[in-house]
Amino acid sequence: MNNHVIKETMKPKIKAFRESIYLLTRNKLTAIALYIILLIVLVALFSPYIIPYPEHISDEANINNKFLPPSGKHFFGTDEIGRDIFSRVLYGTRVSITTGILSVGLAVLIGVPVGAIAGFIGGTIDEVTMRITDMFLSFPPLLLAIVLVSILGPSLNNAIIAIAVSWWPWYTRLVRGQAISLRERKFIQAAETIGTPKHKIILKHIIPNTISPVIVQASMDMGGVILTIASLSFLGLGAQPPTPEWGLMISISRKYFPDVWWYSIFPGLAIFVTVLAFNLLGDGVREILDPKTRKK
Amino acid sequence: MAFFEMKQLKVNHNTFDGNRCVLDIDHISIEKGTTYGIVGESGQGKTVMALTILKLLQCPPGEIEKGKILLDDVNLLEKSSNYFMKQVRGKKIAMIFQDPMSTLNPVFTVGEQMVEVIKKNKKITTKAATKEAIDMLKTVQLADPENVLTKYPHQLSGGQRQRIIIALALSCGAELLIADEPTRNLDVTIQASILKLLKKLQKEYKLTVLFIANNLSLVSAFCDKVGILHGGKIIEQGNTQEIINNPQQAYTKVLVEAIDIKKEIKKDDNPGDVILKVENLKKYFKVNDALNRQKGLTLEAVDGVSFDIKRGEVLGIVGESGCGKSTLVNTILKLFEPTAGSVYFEGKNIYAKDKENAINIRKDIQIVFQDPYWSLNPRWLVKDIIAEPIDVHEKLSSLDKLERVSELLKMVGLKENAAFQYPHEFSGGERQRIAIARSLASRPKLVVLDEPTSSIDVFSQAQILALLQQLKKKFELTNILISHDLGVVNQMASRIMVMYLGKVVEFGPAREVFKDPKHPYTKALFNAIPDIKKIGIEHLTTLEGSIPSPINPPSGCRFHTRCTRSKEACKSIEPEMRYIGDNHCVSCLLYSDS
Repeated sequence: MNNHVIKETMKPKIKAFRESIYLLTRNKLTAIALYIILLIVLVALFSPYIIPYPEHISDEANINNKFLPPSGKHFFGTDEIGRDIFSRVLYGTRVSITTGILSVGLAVLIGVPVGAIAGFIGGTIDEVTMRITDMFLSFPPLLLAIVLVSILGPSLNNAIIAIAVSWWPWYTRLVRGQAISLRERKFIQAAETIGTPKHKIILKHIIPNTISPVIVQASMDMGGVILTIASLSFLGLGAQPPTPEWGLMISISRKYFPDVWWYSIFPGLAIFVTVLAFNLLGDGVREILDPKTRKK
Repeated sequence: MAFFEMKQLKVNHNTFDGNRCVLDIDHISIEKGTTYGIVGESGQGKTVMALTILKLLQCPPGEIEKGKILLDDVNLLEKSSNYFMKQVRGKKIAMIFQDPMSTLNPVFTVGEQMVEVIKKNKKITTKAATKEAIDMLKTVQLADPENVLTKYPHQLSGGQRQRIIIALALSCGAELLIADEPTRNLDVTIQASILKLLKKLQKEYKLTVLFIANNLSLVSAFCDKVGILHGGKIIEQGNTQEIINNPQQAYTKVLVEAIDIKKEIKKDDNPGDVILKVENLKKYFKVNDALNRQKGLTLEAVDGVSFDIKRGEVLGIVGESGCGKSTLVNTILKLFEPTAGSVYFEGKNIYAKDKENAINIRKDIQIVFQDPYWSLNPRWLVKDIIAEPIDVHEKLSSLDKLERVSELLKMVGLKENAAFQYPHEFSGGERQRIAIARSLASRPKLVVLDEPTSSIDVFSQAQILALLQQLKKKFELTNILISHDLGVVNQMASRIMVMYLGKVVEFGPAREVFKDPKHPYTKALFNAIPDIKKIGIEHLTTLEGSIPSPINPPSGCRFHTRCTRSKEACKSIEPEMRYIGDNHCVSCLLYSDS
């Protein structure tokens, strides 16, 4: 019987998921973006097993092979110590995607509950929270991240923390606005007349109903965050050598540009494609979830 | 040859579930100068029809499969959008939408908008257009038209805005007027005056009107012919009186039944002891008027209301929007802190700061809201929605809970497997059943019904009312019923309380109040609703002006600004509640001497 209940509970959720996939793939551009991202994620997951030169991920060098142009043996050529750039770009997917997901995830984790509490409770708590977010929002996010990493010390982990810290206020603002309008909804008033405690109202009524805009914002932000990670690494504040991070690779390749063009072009293309795919997906998701732009 | 005709019109809608036919009209013809009423509930294709005629239907997802729309023997469906812009919209056909606020642009003054339209269409100078605009406002009987032109839409009342929309629609000489529920968001007393105005203008300008409404009540008073739209099809059409006196289809019969508000209904109530006692309850809100830079104003939403409810009875509270009825019940439900006064439930003060007591009150008093679309969390399964009160007040295992939920579902007439569906999969009526099931889950003693049937279609309305009566008997419930639909109140309530601007003006047994209302306001309210037994709209009472602001209510009797029988004394003396019969009391100076 209990199994039956779980099964029945899952059914409508699966149906809703299917419907959203249908809506996503109906727009061609979004479908392409979705497939690219699917491919990127697969590459990220399996990169250690599919790249031709796994040993080139670390510092291992073969100085004799340095600066070989793209060929059948090295699709994207080799770098200044003879490492295969194709292997490193593919592995870089893993670095970018994980750091991207972690930073956005952390920002959502901080931003959403704070926004929901501020919006629902209102009053002084709301006022104080909003002034704090104002403080964060008065810096350009990249600049704030740079300052934070400089304080914490340059490393990939610190870069993730810095980005999350400079990004959470956006989610707080977004969710707070939603929470304020939800507060007037009758089902929240119904919950209050029933006697549902406040923390439960926030957790079970408010937050699930703010998920849609948060997903839109998060999928739009993914591209930006990946770009920021690359920028930080480019400045030497994110990933440290020999990590195969795209921004870092471009930073090192600067010295050899334009003679060794493949060294900068391919990591650059990787960033370009990933960020574009996430932005397109973000637009597609917004079109579905936002009734104003929704085409049935 | 009729002035306007629709022939074999078929419109489809492409959706996730495939192609759906939303409109399938065999034949409608309207003679010049007459009024044709389309009656149908939401989702039956009324608005699609209006949009199709004006070529405003979004395609895709819409798709006009076949058919003809003939205006003066010209097939409009064959014409281009450009032709419509230049030749049809405004010049031949004008439309009045149901929400005047969203039709007017909030960032321009009324004058700018009207002059712009008149200038564009008649190609005249600004000065001449302004003069014309003033003339038009005079025709729609707006007082002080020069002043109105300088106002922004939000500074005007709903009734005034609708008059402006009508003026706009007429300003370019349209011959066919499509009125899509033009009085839907207006109070009944204002509704009547708008209808009278439309009728007068129709005669003056020889307009042909296609009047769209969601119930027969207005159509019966206003239209020469009527067509009942159901499921995209006209299931019955003919002369209004014939349809009302002799409806053929079962659906039409329900529609006719629903608007007969004065029919006698037997009620067997045996009220017991007093369950809820409200003493001099006041709820003021602190507001700031940013526009006039005034701070610390008080809005007297509920101003000194006292009454009691006996166990097992149904108290109906009626009044126009803004009269404070919703604030009153929200305060009783402890969603607001009262400014003054007290409420006793079974002898205990519900505002006492006693934790255990507070939880019990929550268990005993429940509410069913008006709008079933927003009273259920769209992300919860029905089983979780109904079980919410159980989770708060009782500790039950998930299996026991599910059993209770199925039991409740069965009781409100839904299938057991509804438990595993989301609210959006249900119709309005079914959602309201879910809301009722939730309100009963904690086994309450008093259930507040806040306009329980006003957002759902007439067919379900009757069923919901029957269900509520049946459940009331079964659970020995006491009800407070708020509704602006007097038919519903007549059917359910044993006593009626009429409110105006935060005060009770009349209070008495339902039968007496309906038969012989005493207070001038009650009279106006009851007589503003078209009576199906009478033809035309001349018998409707209208109230002049709009409801005064509760921020600065009129002195003395609050109704004196709109009362037709007000005397000098009404302006200064505040009338007291006086008994004029057993349990029947009125607060009006007319009755203070007797």
